[in-house]
Amino acid sequence: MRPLKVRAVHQLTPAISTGDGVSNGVFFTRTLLREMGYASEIYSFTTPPSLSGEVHFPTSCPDDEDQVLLVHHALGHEFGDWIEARKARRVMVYHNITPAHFFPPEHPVHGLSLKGRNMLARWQAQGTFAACIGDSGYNSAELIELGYPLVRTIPLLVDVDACLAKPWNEKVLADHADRFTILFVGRLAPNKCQHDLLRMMQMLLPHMDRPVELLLVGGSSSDSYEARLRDDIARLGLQGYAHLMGKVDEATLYGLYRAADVFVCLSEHEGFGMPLIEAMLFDTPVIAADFGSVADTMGCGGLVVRDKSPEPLAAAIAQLARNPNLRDAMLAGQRERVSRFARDRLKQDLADCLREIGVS
Amino acid sequence: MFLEQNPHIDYAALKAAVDAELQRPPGPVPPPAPLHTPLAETSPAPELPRSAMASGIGARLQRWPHVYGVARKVWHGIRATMVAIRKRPALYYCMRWARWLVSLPKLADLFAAQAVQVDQQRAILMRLEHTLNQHQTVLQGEIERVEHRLNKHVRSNTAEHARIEGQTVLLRESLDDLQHAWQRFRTEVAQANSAGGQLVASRPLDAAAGAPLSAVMDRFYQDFEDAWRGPQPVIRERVSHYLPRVTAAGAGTPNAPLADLGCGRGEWLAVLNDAGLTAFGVDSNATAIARTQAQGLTAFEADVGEWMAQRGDESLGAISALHVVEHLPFEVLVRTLDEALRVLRPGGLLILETPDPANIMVATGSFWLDPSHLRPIPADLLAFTVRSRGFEAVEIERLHPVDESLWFAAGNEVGDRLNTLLYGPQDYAVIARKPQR
Repeated sequence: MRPLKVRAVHQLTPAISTGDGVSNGVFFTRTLLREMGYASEIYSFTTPPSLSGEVHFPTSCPDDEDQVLLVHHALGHEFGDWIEARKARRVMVYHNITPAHFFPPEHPVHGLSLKGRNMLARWQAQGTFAACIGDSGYNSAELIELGYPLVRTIPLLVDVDACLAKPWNEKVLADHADRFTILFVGRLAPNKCQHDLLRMMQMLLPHMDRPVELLLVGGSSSDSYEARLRDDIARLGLQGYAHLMGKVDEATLYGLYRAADVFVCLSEHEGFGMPLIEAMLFDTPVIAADFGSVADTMGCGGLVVRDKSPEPLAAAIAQLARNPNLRDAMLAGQRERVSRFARDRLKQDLADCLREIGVS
Repeated sequence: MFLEQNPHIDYAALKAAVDAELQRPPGPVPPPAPLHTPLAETSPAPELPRSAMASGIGARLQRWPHVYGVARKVWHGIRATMVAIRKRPALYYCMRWARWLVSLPKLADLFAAQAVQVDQQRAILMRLEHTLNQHQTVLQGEIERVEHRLNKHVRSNTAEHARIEGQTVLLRESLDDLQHAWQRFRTEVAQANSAGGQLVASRPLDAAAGAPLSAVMDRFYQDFEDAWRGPQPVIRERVSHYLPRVTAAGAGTPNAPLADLGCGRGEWLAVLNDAGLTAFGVDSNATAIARTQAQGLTAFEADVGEWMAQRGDESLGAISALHVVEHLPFEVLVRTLDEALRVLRPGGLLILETPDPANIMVATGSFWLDPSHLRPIPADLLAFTVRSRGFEAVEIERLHPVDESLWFAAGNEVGDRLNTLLYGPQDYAVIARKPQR
């Protein structure tokens, strides 16, 4: 590949918003790139008004050969042709596409999910991208399987230092100090399996000898599923023990991560599983079931269970509540795992990747 | 169970601990729920209102990024202008007012549409009301029909009840008679034994009521009655005249039954039976009794005098004898009156009807049509006789005047007198009561 003197590494994402994992990763990547000395802007076709100063519409993106465009891909969209017409050297940053079968056929995401995977296959055939970055080993494996030649795994997702520095609500910590708190963060959706957490909670109660609560943080993606969860809470006798917290603000969320005694994830699909890493950051022991990219995201941290039958899981959580040694062992692994997300490490990986596509 | 990825964990020990935990008996009670969990708002704070149409158009325009970019800028410009206008109240309310003015014609249309709907609803209501009325009429008819049928059944039940009670009374009396006869028989046998086997012939009761007609004569007399007495419905209507008096006297109950002496074809019995009163007839004419019984009425074939003699004291509420006394010799009539006074309860009613000889046409003609008539009895004579045998409240009722079409023209003295003599009442009744004790 021809060596290239590059001044700018821009990013394109079809849509951006505040607060979701991919968008956070995009902003974090811009920070890294700027720190590495590149000019870097973010372009998006759909931007909320609150970000209109920071994110630009793609038509204003200069189309020069001596720049690199990082294209984020997480779902199908209409702008494939526009991307393919760019003169800049293109690198795909692949965030996982939630498989279509997790959505009913009439759901809009069902079609977009299928389309997203078609685009992956087409781009591979056309050689649209000089290189690909998977944000997890799981995602990279998918690209390699599709036949993409140059795939690197760089978790360009979370700004660990910024995360730890963010303000948090100390009152939350005080509110939950008197009990064993189990936390899960994620949209209320059938594939996130909050209902399995409720069943696990029911099994756990007889094993516990102190107050225990399950907090499900996350906005609702389906009214019927939320109704089902509320119904389950009533049916399983978990009123007062399990709470749907809804979408909480950042300060409360970081307070809850710190207040939680264990973070449990039984989700059947996680593209990356950002909350797992966030929980690890705040030294909250993480127990997760091995679905999708979870085992990969967990790495050497926390505890990964092969299946999510509620009884053994409840027993493991009861053990964790009683056995400080287990907790320490989990945390030791987690700290090791989190170091993979340190800024310097990520910058180094990113520079290596750019070098591989001929950026000098 | 675990994916052994964390080098710091002793998975074997953990598995053992989990198994032990699974074996551990559960605590007696689950731990208490935490006292208070501050909950966040479930729904996100509402944003500025979004236009579904605008987002739809935006989604389509995304195929052409350049056009989409321009359109997007314009759209955001409009929204920014709207926000700016909202911040200036005077301008904002002017706009609202203008929009309201523009919407006035729409409002009028809306009212018109509402009026049409109201009219339609009213029409539907009227139709419903009409249907309801029809149903009501049908129901009313049905109710009347059912009522009518019910009344019919009640009437027939009443008649049946009266008939059965009449028969019960008769049966009871027959039983009494049998017991008396048995007693008498035993006495006579004892007497015979004591008198050395000599039989004492008991004198039969006075065979009074004229010469009893033979079977041939019975048949003849029925044919005669059918020919001359008048059709049964007419007779029924005539005799219904006495019904109020019977009920007023409290007669016709099982305790105070009515006996119709010489009941003939049973018209009077049928009227009483239909009114639910207990009554039975006595007649010596076997053919007449058979006809009466065939109508389901209670009648008893016997000689009137004999039958009366066998009845107990004060056992009847009323006695009627319609067109009977003119068949009896005077002494028998007197004896019959005496027996009637005996068998009637105090206050009991006596009705005697007979042709009125005050009418010359009756006295000279129609009376003699019946070959079994013995002699005409003037009303005064009969009333006197009844009173003299001990009855009280004796009344004479003149009945059944000749049809007025045959009368002389009213207004002249001769005509009036002749009308009285020739076409006046053809029958009379003497009605009396047995004195109260």
